[in-house]
Amino acid sequence: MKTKHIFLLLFLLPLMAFTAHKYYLSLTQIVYNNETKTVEVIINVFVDDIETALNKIHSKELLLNTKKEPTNTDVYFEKYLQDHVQFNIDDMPVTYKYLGKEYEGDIVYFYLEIKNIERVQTIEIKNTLLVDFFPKQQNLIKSKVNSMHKSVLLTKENDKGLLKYK
Amino acid sequence: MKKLALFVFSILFVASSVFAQDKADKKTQKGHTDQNKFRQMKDVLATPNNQHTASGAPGHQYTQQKVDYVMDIRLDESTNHIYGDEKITYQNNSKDYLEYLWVQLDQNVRADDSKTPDAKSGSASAFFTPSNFKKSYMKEKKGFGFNIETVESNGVQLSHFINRTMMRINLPTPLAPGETFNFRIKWNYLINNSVEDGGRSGFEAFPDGNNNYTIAQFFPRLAVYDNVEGWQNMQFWGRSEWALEFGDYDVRLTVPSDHIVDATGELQNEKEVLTRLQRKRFKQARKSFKDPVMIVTQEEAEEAEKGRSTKTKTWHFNAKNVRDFAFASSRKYIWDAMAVNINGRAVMAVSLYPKEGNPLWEEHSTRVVANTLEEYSKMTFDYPYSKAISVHAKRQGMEYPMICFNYGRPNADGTYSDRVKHGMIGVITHEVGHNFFPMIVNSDERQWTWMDEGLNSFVEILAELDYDPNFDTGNLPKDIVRYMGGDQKRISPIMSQGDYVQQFGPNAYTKPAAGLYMLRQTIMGPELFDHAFRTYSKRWMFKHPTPADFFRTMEDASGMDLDWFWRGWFYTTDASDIGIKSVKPLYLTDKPTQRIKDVIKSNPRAKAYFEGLGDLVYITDKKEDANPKAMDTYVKNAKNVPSFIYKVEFDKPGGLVMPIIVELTYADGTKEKKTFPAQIWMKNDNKATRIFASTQEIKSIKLDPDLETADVNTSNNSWPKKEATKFTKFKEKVKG
Repeated sequence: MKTKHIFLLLFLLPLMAFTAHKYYLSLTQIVYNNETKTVEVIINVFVDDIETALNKIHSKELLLNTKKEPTNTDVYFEKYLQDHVQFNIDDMPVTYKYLGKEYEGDIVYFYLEIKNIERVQTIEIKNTLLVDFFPKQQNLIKSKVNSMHKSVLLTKENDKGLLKYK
Repeated sequence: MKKLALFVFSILFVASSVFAQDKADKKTQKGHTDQNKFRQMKDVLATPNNQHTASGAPGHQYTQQKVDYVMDIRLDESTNHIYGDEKITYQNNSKDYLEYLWVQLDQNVRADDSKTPDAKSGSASAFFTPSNFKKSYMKEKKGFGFNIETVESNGVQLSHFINRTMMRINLPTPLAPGETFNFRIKWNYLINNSVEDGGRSGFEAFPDGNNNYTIAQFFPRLAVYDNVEGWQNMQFWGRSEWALEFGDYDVRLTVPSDHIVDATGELQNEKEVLTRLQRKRFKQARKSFKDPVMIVTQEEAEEAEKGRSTKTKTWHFNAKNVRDFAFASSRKYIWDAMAVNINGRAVMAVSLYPKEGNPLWEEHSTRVVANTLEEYSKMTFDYPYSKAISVHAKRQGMEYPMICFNYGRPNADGTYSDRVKHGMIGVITHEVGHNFFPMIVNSDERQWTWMDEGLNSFVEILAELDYDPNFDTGNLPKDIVRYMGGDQKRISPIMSQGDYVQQFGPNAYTKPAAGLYMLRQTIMGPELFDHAFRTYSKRWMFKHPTPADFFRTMEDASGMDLDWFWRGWFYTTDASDIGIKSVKPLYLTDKPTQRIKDVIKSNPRAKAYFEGLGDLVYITDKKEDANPKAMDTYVKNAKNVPSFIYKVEFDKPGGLVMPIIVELTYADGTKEKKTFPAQIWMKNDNKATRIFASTQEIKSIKLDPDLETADVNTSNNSWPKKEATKFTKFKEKVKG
């Protein structure tokens, strides 16, 4: 059996299972670039999941990564990310710049940049991507700061993580 | 002489580890059992016997029950009920006396007293359809589930007990080996709306007042009694699918007279149910190997869906040697068919869809069915049934013998995205492919989801790439990296019972499919793999294989020991991660190295040995001693002397053993790929060292350049390390 319809999953997971990707995961990769004093963030999510979310929020039919995709979808992406992903670095809230997106198969990559960061000892991240739409959504955070690798897995119930590099 | 040489060289290369040992703790160390990743699977595989042999084939004492069904089925469209009168002939081919029979009552999974909804812990959803809200929070009773009217044999009622989705029928006297038992069950049930209530079977209601009935799990079906499980009577919780016996079916389906019906098996009364024109078109279709022929056109279907006949028609189907029966019925159907040449035999590829499926379905459905039958037949055995039908359903993707229900609906205006099209091609390939696994190679789905879903998803990759070489199958090794590199707490081994595995899709579909693809493309090669895979398929067609039968046959037929692969990929949640730890350039020289000088000095036997060898050249890590011409006097063409020598150390942070695939890029830009088999990790599971000697400088080294091994961390795959990061590359790109 194979069922790609995602809405159905919410209600009927035990009766029918399956989506194209069949699991719900986003990956946020954070790297502190000591040379440019920049925190570089790449977030990847499944295209059909984010499309489901944005269509629902904006009552639109976005048809992402097709010829019919509207030219302004970056506006929706940026807004959605700003609403659902936030960072505190060394206990200070920071803002990031949305550089753009890139499609690769059924995944879309978002590129974010936090500039003028002199040092990083802790990163606190709140990530609620897609959890309102997919109860099983997991948001995995991986980071590399000062050659230390730290990661944390966030879910709907547990949507904040603190990563320490000291 | 050889012995002495070994002695000397071992001094050279293990000198440092000898020192290390001297410093080691003097305390007596603890011992351990054999934990080598290449140890044989004796500890986890079932002991072979004469039913399931050590070679992975069915043994001479293998037995299998046979169950034949004669059924009269009535679909009442006005009340959405199905009524059945079912006569069952149970043939006990086992060597055991059976005191009772177990029958599966799958409709009970959605009965009002079903425990399935109570068995899951869940948080509140953000949104509901009204129907689901009622179901979840208003305890609305829907009245689903089987009503069993009669269970009798020769006019005598049979004692029976219903344990939710399983019914035990107590036999008056134990059924002896070789004997048959005839009995009859009369039943009815209320059909669920599969769009609102969910389910692998049911109906979709259209705004025009018509229903599309895609009906399965609709009759009490015998559970499997076999050599390894006894009765497979684990409850149907809603996820793990079925174990079913083969048998012959004789089924009469009585439906509204203006419905079009198709089902498992061959239609017996064409003249009674089809028009002369439809029969003529069918005749054409049986000879049309290139394009589908319309049996019912869209125009005709649109006319038919306006009607509401209160009369009935009975469609009569016979099916031999199938493990199940399903059917589809509606007056909305467009119907097309074409012939497929399976090794000289014409098999029919058929589609049924309402106008809502067009224009997508008329273009692709039947063609995809045909392609699937061809491709799967190449990888397994010639498709043995007479036809395969793809029925359009809104949300189902579900398989039965000769018939399956598939999603893929265009927008109301007929437009559709590539994703809808690819989803539809993918699901049809997948569900038609299930004819091979598990409808014919009849594994126990209740126990092992991967045995049908995984094997099927693997062959699906090849069939999809054949239909469209650019198809994104989603089942390749690279596609499982995110899952395998994820949180270990949320991952189950493939060898887990389906009802409790976490992340079911990647676990039971993608990971086994990607693993088999890797075996075929990277580890065994298509020739060895295909022969073994075909051997497994043929050995177990129309039988009940177990996981051990698959693992053993793949080794038995290929002459490859794959225990390390099965153990790692199927029995653990380990991931693959191989890295380049260091690359050290070495140099050819004519000067004896310090270490050799020391050995000669300290050991008179070594001195004699070295003197006896005559001329020598040396390898050193000291650049200042390098003499690339040291070998020149000994070879005809000095150009061929590889004077660039590199010692590359690989490490393996991942738990899985895998081949090391190394791509060398030389100074002149040419590339060379070298593959070292997984056995390179046999003696040391943590590191491996190789020397690469070349006539030109090696500029860079990359591991697994084509993403064949599901390496979850590619940041350690390159030397030198400095490759522009994904982030920098993107930034460059946006800047333009």
